[in-house]
Amino acid sequence: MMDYPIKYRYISPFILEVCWPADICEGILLDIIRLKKGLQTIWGPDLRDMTMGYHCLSLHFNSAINFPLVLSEIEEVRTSTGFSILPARKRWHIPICYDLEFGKDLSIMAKTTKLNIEEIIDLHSSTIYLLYFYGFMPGFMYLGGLAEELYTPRKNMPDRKVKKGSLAIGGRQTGIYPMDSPGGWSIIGKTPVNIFNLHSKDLVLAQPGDEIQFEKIDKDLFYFIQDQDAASRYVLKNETIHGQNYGH
Amino acid sequence: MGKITVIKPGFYTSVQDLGRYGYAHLGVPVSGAMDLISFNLANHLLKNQPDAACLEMTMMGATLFFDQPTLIVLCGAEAPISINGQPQTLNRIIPIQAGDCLKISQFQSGQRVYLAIKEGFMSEVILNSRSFYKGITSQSHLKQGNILFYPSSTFTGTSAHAHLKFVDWTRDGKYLEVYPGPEINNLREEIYDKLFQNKFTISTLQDRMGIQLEEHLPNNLKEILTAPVYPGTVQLTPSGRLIILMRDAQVTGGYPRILQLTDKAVSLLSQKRPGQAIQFNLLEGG
Repeated sequence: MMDYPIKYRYISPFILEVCWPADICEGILLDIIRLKKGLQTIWGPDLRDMTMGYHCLSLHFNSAINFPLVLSEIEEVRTSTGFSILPARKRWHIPICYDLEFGKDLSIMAKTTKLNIEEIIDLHSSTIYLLYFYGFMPGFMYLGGLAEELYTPRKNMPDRKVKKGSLAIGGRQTGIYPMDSPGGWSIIGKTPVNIFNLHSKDLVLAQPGDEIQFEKIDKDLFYFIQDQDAASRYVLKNETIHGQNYGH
Repeated sequence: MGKITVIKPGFYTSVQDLGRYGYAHLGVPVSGAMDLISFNLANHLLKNQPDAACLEMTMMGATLFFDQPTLIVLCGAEAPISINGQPQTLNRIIPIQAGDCLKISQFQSGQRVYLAIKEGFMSEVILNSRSFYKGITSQSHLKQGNILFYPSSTFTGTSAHAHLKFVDWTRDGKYLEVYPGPEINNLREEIYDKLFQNKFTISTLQDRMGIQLEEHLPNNLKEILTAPVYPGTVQLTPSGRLIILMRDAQVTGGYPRILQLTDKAVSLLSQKRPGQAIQFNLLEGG
């Protein structure tokens, strides 16, 4: 099941990283998710935190690691068929208003990408993105799948304040700022939905391995959904995906 | 319940505990006291729970008004401390009466002072921690006029017996113990040697997220695929800057990770001032 070559990196007596080949690809992501789920099952409360990168799974233990024991248990999970089943994949539809009022860098991007604004929006909202992991700031999704035509270098002078909910493109990546923050990415739209919600039982809805699609909405709907969401009456549209190759 | 009124907040004062664990996979930083050694000592002297929340003050202390009796301990940087104008000392239990005014002035050495209070501060708990962090807690640092709550506690003993022998961590030498980082072996040999033979200077570019060093290191490493980082991770940027990540650091980063400070080294470093020299001392293995 898990036949990528992996390496171990000893970060400290408490932290061990499992590393896959340095590549951004779905196969590696699914392998990481399988191992993460398996280790959670066997170690549970011994683990303080488990974080991910594109090709790393980091295991942060509550006490000093017994490396020989831990490595043999990781190998056991990787080779056991009992841990090869992936959780069901969901596709989340996140409403985005690409109006120029929110997408303040769309005009500049139209020049640099040599596309017109409509083409940028259509391309961006027709793509289905894959959620790799959360990082950078609370609730920030690292998404794979941005169309090459939309690659945009980061700004030389970062904006001092990017508004919460802003949808942006930086380099080969696209993502939503879950809270106000300085930022150097180009802003193309905004979601009315709180994607990192401290007042909800689930802080985030989408899990690594899930799909994200951005749904174009107009300004009236933006403000309507914003009010609904603020009153906890908005439910993010989602469906379970039964891809024929998924999970094998 | 007692109430503290913040008369002057100091330069940067926040509530901190041991940190916010179990949420890093959602991008939430660990946070918690920068100098855990002083933080732990302060709670220990008061026989508090190890995770009791303290106030962390930076460079310039706060002026606080108490409306109920309690016990406090101050640990960490050397700072002039007074209650109603009467000088007080670090590292011992100080009884507080209703109406007392505690003043901590500009620090003489070290960067952070911890104020522990009997049974801990009672600020909001978000994701299992009281540690302030912008975007998670409602504020990132204290402002003038803020109110802090604490359990009131009457004191019967004397403070003289509570004085404990302690290690003066803030004066500990320039060496910081480190483990090799995941990307260190990609460094050219002469750069690797420089990393351990040279001294580096703490720059003024520092906050709870990270500390930049003044000297640059020639860099032959490319940026990496975004990968996990931790408090104590030393990153090398494309322009050769060295950044040491601290307790409020992001959970992932794209710069090569060349060293990992021990937890003790993170505490020691958080007491160093801009202009002070450090040198990395490599420990075997991880």
